[in-house]
Amino acid sequence: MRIVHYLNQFFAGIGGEEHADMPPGSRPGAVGPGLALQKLLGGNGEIVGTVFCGDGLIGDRPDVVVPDIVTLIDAFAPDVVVAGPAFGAGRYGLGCARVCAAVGARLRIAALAAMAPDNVAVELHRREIVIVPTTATAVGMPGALAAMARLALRLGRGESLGPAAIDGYVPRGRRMNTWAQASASARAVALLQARLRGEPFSTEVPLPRYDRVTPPPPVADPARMRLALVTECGLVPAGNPDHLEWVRASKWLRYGLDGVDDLARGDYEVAHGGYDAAFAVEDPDRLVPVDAVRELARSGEIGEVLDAYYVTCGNHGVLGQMATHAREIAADLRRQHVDAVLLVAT
Amino acid sequence: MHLEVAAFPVHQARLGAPAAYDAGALTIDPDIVRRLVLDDPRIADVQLELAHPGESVRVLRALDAIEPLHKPGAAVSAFPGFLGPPRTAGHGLTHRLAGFTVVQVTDFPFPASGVQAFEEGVIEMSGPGAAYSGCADRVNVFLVLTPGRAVSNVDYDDAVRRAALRVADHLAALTIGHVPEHVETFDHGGEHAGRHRVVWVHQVRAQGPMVQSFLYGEQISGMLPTVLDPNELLDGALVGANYKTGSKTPTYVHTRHPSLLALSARHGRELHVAGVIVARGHHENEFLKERSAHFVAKLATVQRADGALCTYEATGNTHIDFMLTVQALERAGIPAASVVHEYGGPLGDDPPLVDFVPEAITLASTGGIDRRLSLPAVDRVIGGARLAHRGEPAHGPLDLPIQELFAATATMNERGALAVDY
Repeated sequence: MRIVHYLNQFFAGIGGEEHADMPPGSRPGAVGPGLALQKLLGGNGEIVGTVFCGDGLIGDRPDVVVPDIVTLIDAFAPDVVVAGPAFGAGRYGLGCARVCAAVGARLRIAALAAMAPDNVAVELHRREIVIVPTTATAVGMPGALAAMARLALRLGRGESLGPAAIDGYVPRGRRMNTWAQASASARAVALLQARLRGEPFSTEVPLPRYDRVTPPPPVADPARMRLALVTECGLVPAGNPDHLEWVRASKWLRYGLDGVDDLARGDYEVAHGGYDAAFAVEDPDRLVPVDAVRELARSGEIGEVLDAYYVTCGNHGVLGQMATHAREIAADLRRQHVDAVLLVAT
Repeated sequence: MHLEVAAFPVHQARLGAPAAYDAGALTIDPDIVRRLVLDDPRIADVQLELAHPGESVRVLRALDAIEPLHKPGAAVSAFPGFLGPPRTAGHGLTHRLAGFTVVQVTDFPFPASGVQAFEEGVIEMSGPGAAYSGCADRVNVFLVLTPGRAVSNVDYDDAVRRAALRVADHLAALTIGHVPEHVETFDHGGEHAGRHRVVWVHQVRAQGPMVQSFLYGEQISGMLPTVLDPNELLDGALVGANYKTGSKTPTYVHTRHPSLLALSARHGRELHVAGVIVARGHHENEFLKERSAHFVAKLATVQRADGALCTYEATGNTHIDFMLTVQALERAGIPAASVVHEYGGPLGDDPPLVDFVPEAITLASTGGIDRRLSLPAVDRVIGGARLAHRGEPAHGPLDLPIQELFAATATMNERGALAVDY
């Protein structure tokens, strides 16, 4: 198995910060920590070349330098590329991660980097590359190299990795189903018992981090604003002509309200499996209150109402997909010069 | 409360006469079943179908599934409130047709939309869907029903539930006079100094018609959390009536819930089971959710609980009730370990939870329910030629998320599914 190792100028033995702008270069065989890594690989793999670059240069000009580094790596015709370990060094970590990501994308070759879990590069790149967690400083060099050797051999053989906790890499942001011996209830009882006894325990579902949306300031002059109606309620024209899904919607839709003062019973139906829609079928304005906003516009309390409403179905929405719908709807609202939105949730 | 549950396993079922149970073989007399079902004019017709594990069978329009129970010669019936007066069950002797289920299969007579629209759970008896599908590892009789003179879907639903429970009672009673394969004893009494007292918080769903649960014969909408002995559930105190695809907890899971079995097995040795708190999920607003959450925490305190095992019947809205309950328990000083199903999208790269509280630090996963499955064509379909909510032809290959399989979340808990980071 042919392995190429990426290092910064320091670990390549060229020099410290004064050489941080050193351009990319390469040498055949193992260099610096690569020598110890080669010993760990034994006869199973050979470090055929080492490619290096100054941390400052790759940090400042990745667009220019990374393609050159990939070309140098490609010249060694590797089966797998390893980078680092960068430990807690931010610029080195970013360099390793960018090189690995580019190797994967352009050469379609497996690549892994090693660095501390709180290295700034981890959160930026863990979804696209394999990262071996290390200590924050070079004190953990032997352990880091052992883990790199183990995973490099597996990736180089074309194997796919098992769970992050078992195979020892930073989770790539994907959760896959598997089976345990015990029911989930029995495993929860075991977690509870460990906690009550003061023994160590580890949740099976790390809590996610969600964005917080800061509300915009109030509309300065409602009497001049253009208002639009947006909703995830699934209200669509009768017959659901655009086939909005009642669950996990893959689309959003815009329906015209030109000349419509009141949504008539029978003209609309609900494509949404998550709430009791009987009241809305009776009077669709209960979901998309066209009658009320038209009245406000007539009385001058608001400026005008956009002659269309935007709708998707929020039932079991996949968060990433819903965020895309929202961005697209927001962009369309801007094109329509909308100042404010009445967002009807169900 | 002392309960003996005598297990009469069913390995093979057939239609014929006379109706009999004999050493794992169950003979079902269709004439008797017809009489029991058609006793109610709200049902016009019934056809019987059987399916065993591993058969190339797909079942559509499955509502609830019941493991038959019968209490021989007792003043209190199994499924109290339905098969007898609503008197406290959970003691004495119960016969159980282990591994067998009576499943209702039907369309509803009147059109409905929104949450009242029918979202079937698909049962796959073999292939890649079987691992996630309730009833796939059981011997099943399907009562394929035709609506009769019901005045509403709710009225018809009531007829269907009562008919299936009558049939279940008749079948379980066939074991009278036979020797059980084994007898389990459930008794959660005694004093166990030095053992942690653990309550099980069993949040079940009641959103309205078609998404309902029954406790002692009455729907739980409007119910405050209440305390039961686990034995009451083993005798059928809770009956499921939630017809939302994968998220339903069918009656056979309520009567043999993995939480109950896990806690009972440890009672007196590792911990002390301090009761079951049955709570409603899917309150209409924040006020009612908070009120219910704090009632659960208060009842757990009254039960002198040191810890709580919390489970809930999906999905999004009920998850908020659930997390508020976990928070209320933790703030009352009662650590809560919970079972949650995950989302995450088809690839598992979307956030896994609808909602959470920072106190939810001990969660067990039942796996991601929106990963997709490619299901092959099947030889036999029960319950219609096309899927109720998708309209696709039922025989052919299907591409479905796991959550559209019958009772997927409860089944994944029972069989040990979980999601792990990759």
